[in-house]
Parts: sequence; structure tokens; C-alpha cells
Amino acid sequence: MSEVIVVTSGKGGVGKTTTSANIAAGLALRGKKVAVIDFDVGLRNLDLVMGCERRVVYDFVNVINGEATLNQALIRDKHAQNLYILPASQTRDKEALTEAGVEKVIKDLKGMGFDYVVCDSPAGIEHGALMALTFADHAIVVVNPEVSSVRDSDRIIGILQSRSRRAKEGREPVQERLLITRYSPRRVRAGEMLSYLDILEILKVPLLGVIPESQRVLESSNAGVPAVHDNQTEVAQAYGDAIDRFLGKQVPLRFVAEEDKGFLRRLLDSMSRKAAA
Amino acid sequence: MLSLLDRILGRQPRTASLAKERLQVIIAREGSRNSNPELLHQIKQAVLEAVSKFVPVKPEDIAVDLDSDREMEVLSVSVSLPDGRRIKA
Repeated sequence: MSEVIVVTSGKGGVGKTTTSANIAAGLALRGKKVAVIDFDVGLRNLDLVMGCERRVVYDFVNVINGEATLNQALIRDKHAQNLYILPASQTRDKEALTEAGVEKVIKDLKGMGFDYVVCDSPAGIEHGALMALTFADHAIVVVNPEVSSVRDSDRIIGILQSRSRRAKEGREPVQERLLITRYSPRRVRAGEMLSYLDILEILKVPLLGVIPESQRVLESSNAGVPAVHDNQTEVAQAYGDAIDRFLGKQVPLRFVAEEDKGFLRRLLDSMSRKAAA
Repeated sequence: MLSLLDRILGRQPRTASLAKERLQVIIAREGSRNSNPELLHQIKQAVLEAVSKFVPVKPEDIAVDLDSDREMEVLSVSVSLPDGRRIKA
């Protein structure tokens, strides 16, 4: 049984592409056969984040237009077995993503035996974002603990509930889950940042995971190797937990509480932060 | 302004709770989500039954959408007929 996962958010810059890369790689590391599609036509970036930008020959739009076969366009990932990337077109018009074309590509990928097709949505609620969510069975809604991101997530959840095929055909709804990224337990504790519980209370969608704010995310995109590959880091472990939950395991939430430091330590940290600011 | 004591103890104004309150208000007002997906499903079933008396249609030929902005809600129902023409209600 193959399933389609859309990684979406409404707002840009919250970590959709990072999440798509890590979820796709993490599922592949757990033995699943995974294809990840970049829907951001004109602003292709998944290839860079996954470190295969120099191996792009054909793209998603080429396949839709019949200018290349899926086998020609799919790039085999060098870091994980059974992981393939279908890059977005860099030059074409966004309208090139026709609904029938997207539907056929997803159907063909299912026919090729992929367990999961991960759709990396562009920001916004325009055509590309709608195409990315239309065929979804699961939605991972990426949200930052910040007002505009939370509001936009609410919008995109509404759109999932009305525009997806599942909704239009009156089937069981798309399974939506929240992934909170760039979370800082320290700032939550200081009352400066919405807590994950606040966000869950506002959005009323089940939680898939909380990814702590970390310098590793930038470093892994610098290198073109998704963070899940280095299991020593908190980010990798947090993504790993989210993937395990996605696959149905019960995993306790980690990295949401600030480690308990003594009063003096906190005072020194706080002073050094103020000095740095 | 933070008082000196607040500064020493590292106390901050609790802007997070302000954010939560504002979000709860705006999200409730915008009503982006179908407050009742079941209702839409029932409308769809009723349309299906009604139209089926005259023209044979399948459930997937009927789309029911509820769009709302601040001023009003729009319920749109579209039914694709077998020959490809659409009637809009």
C-alpha cells in the first residue's frame, strides 16, 4: 500500500523543505521505499537540501509533459537506499503542474512500488500548494511557535479539509498532524514563545513532533545531507521520533523542556545573552 | 519598562500568553475550517439523491465547498453531468 504525505504550512520559511528531506530520508532509513517530490516550480530547492543538485537532468514538469520518463527524472539519493528525488522545474510556468498530470505521476509512482510519496509543498495557498495537497492521504503541517505561522497553519488545515481529493470525494479525511519546528524550550520557559501545548490548544490537530531550534539545521543544508543521518544530534533524534510516531510507535516527547540549570548558571547565561545582543 | 528587580531576576513580560489570546480570537473569527464537515457530507448526499432522480450521477461528480471570509459564507455546489457539462447552484 503506498501513501501520499504532503508537507505543508501556508507560511514560507518555517522548514517545509528541511522537513520533507528529513522525513523522506528517515522513512528510507527505516527500510521504506520513498519518493520525494518538489512542488515548488520556479524555486527548486529540495535538490540542494538533499545534496543532489548537480545530478538534476529532468524534472517534474518534464515528466508531466511527457518529455522524460519517471525513471529518467528520478534521482537516486546517495545517502539512503530506496530514496528517490523528483526535482521541481526551475524555469517553467507554475500552471505546468496540471491536476491530471500530477495525478498520473503519483499513480505511476505507486505503481512502481513506492511505499511513500512525500510532496514538498511551496509556501502560500496558490496553485502549486493546492496541487501538492490534492492527492494527500497524510498531511504534516509544519508550524513555528510564532503568530503568523500558527494562523497560516489554520488556513492551510481548512484548505486540506475542503480541497483535497479525499474531502471532495467524501472519503475519510486527510490525516493531519502538526510538526512544530524551531522550538526553544528556554524561550517558552521565559514566556517569550508559544509553548507546544498552546499551539495544540489553538490548532486542535494531533502532534507529530517538536523539533528544537538548532544550528545543525543550517549546517546540514550547507552540506546537503539531511540531519537525520547524524543520529548524535537532537534534531536528528527529534525527527526520528516524529517518523516513528508517524509509523505508529508510541514515543515520548523529548527536547521540549529546558534542562534544569541552577540559578547561578541561568543568571550567567542570561547575562551573556544580553551582552551578545 | 522592566524594573531593576525584573532585570536581575531575568523576568520578561509574558508576550507568549498575549500571542495565544490574539490567535484564539482571530482564528475563531476567521473560521477557516469547516466547522462541520459532517454537514457538508449530508448536503452532498441530499444533492446526490435529488439529482439522481433526473440524471444518473456518481458521488465523485458532486463537489460541495464552503468558503467564508469575514463578511459572509458561500456554499457552492457543483455537479458534473455525464456528458461533461456542469450545472452550478
